[in-house]
Parts: sequence; structure tokens; C-alpha cells
Amino acid sequence: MPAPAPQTTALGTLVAIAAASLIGLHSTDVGLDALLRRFHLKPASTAEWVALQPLPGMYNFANRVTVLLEPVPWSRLDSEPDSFRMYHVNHYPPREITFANKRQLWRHNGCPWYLYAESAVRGRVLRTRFTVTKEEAGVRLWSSEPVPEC
Amino acid sequence: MLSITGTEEATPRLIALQIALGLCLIGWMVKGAMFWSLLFQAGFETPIAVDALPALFTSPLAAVMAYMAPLIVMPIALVAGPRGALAAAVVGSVSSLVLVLHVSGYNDATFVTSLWVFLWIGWLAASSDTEAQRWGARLAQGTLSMIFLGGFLGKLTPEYLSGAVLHDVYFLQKQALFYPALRAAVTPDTLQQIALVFSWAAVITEGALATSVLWPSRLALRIGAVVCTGMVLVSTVYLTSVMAALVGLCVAGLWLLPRAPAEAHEPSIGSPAYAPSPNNAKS
Repeated sequence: MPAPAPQTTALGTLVAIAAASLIGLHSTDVGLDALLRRFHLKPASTAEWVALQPLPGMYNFANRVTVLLEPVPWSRLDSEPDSFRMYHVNHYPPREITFANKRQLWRHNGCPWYLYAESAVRGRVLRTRFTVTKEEAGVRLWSSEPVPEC
Repeated sequence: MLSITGTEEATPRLIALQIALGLCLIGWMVKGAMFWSLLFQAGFETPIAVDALPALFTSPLAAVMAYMAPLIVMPIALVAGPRGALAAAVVGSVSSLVLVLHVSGYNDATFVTSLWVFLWIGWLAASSDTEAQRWGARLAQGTLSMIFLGGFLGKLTPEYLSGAVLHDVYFLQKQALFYPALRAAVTPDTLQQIALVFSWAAVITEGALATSVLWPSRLALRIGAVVCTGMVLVSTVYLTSVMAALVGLCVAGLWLLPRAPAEAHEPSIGSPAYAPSPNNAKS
């Protein structure tokens, strides 16, 4: 059988690298932490974001969110689950803010608002309190602290 | 048989290109039903900045250009032969990549599946007929397998295996299809049991498809097409935007396989009577 053409080798290699990356990332704590950061829009670097985003991750992990008008400590969310019901989303918890209809809500209903997001996989958990503030042109999603006054 | 341009013989490669491109186009059009207002209204009225992402990945204009470019190029490519398909694949790949990185598309699996299918279309358009028929189905299988591997590995966590995640996302929250009626018809305990079975079915199906690169091509691609269609039926019609590209990949891959004797009108690669002809040469 003749050897594959260069483009065949290239695509086959690319797909194999993607599959091997998925296995490697899901098999190590370092990899899982990177995937969790990706789901919270908190990549360690832009390069990490660019490298991870083409990898499929549909309906990965247990992702829970809730939206609040006041900041509360995570311990209250844990101790009062009925008052602060966190509901599951299929992936990428910040989508609860970045979706079109949600953005309009943030813009017209004052600020700041807070999105509490938790993603868990095999015992590794990432929790982020996102803050949404208004800007002159739109809104800004902060995942870091401290957040400027609204 | 002639292509719709009437200028080029409709080889399996050309038809496979049209199938894959056509399904990608359908997926992107379905996406528009929900995506349009984000791109053209909220994107500009309420742009969102994210402190961890560079400005390019939050630019409303970049998202509009990335989404619109394939929508313009794909219909032309459908009737423009392999060179048009190659151009559409390049545009589609770049656009999909921009959107998976952009704050308006990062969470949308449509652009992840499209990215990989556009790469396959680009490969197909750049290959000879012989190369396409020899490797097309295998590469389609590999791509399908890798995509389901990503879904499978992320569900290997107690919250999925207990049924808790899908119980909430599908059986408690979903307002479409049969889910509200099911909620009303059964007890909460029964609903949890159904969710548990549903979760395991999802995990096992994705796990099986993750290994489909090892299966016989015809079986893998047929089952892939059926599963992708079935996932739309149990979820939401909007999932068509994610799955159409994968269905296109499977069907196009199948089209490149040698016909079974009863289906074939001509000898094909792999059969003893096959011999490359001038018409099999790269266009």
C-alpha cells in the first residue's frame, strides 16, 4: 500500500495529538486543574486558553452555579443549601453571565452581581466568585480579587 | 454523473465534500436562531469584557466576522468543486477557532465540532480521489472518536455516575420535549432512577464511540450518525448545530467507502476491478 500523503499524515497526527492530550489532561491532577480553570475562564495564560479550547469537553464535570445580589461567604452556601440553591449547568459556568439574554439582565438591573460557580471532577473542585460590574460600554466579568467599586 | 456545476464528474470525493459542507452549513444556520441576537444585539449593546482574556477575544466585531464568513462562503463552495470546498474549509476552520476562543462562542460545542469537521473537509478537498477513498473513512472515524473521547472522560466523575448532574440539567430544569410531562407523571424517586439510567446510557454510549476508531469503518460511521441524531432527539433541536457537522462527517466518510457489490454500479477502490483512471486524479 502506498504511503499516506502529507496532508493525511498531518490530519491523522493532529487528531492523535488531540486524543492523547485529552487522555493526559484527564489522567493527571495538573491536567484536571487546567481543564477546570478553562471552564471558569481563568486560564493560566492566553497560550493555555488557545491550546485547550479546541479540545472537546461537552457536558464535562459537575458544574453548579447560583447568582446573588450580595456577596456571601462560600461557607453560607454550603451550610444553607435551601436558601442558596446551586443548580447544575452542562459546562462553562460563566455562560450564565455571557449569554445574550443574561448580559442584558446584568446591564439593566444594577450591579454588582455575583456568580458563584463550582466545578468538580473526581474530588478536585474549583470555586470562583465572579463579580459583574458595569462599564461605560457594557459589563465586565471579574474572576479575580479585588474588584473595583461599581 | 455530473456535479451540480455540470463541469466536473461527481466522484465520491466531490459528493462527500458536498455532504459534509452541506451539513456544516445547516449546523451554522441552526446556530443562528439563538446566536443572532448575541452577535448583533447584545454583543454590541452590552459588550462583555473578561479580565482573564485578551481584548481580541471579546471584540463584538471579531465574533460577527467569524460567524458570518463561513455562512457566506459555504453556499458558494457547495457548487464550486474541491477548490471552493478547500477555501470554505480554511475559512470555516479559522472562524471556528476564533469562536471557540471568543467570549461569545467559547462555551458552544458547535464551534468545536465544526473546527474538526472543517479540518477534515480541508483534508478531503486537498486530497486525490484515491487518497480520499483510502483514508477518508478512517480519518472521519478518528475525528469522531476523539470528539466523543472528550465528552466521555469528563463524565467519569461521581456526580455523573450517580445521575445527579443529568437529573438536574435534564429531568428537573428542561422545559422542552417530554421532560415536563415526565416530571408530572412520576415520583421524584422514580425520576432519579430514570436519570441514573439515562446518565449511564450517556456515559457508556460516549465511551463506546470513543473507541469507534478501532471498529470496522462502516459500522462506526453508521452508529456515529445514528447516535448524533439520537442525541438531538433527546435533548433539543438546537443541538442540531453541534451534531449536524458530525452527522455530515459520518455520512461523508461512509460515502467514501467502497460500495457493497449490490450497491455499486462501478468498481471502487478496494475491489479487485478498481483501477485509477484520469477521472480519479486530483482536481
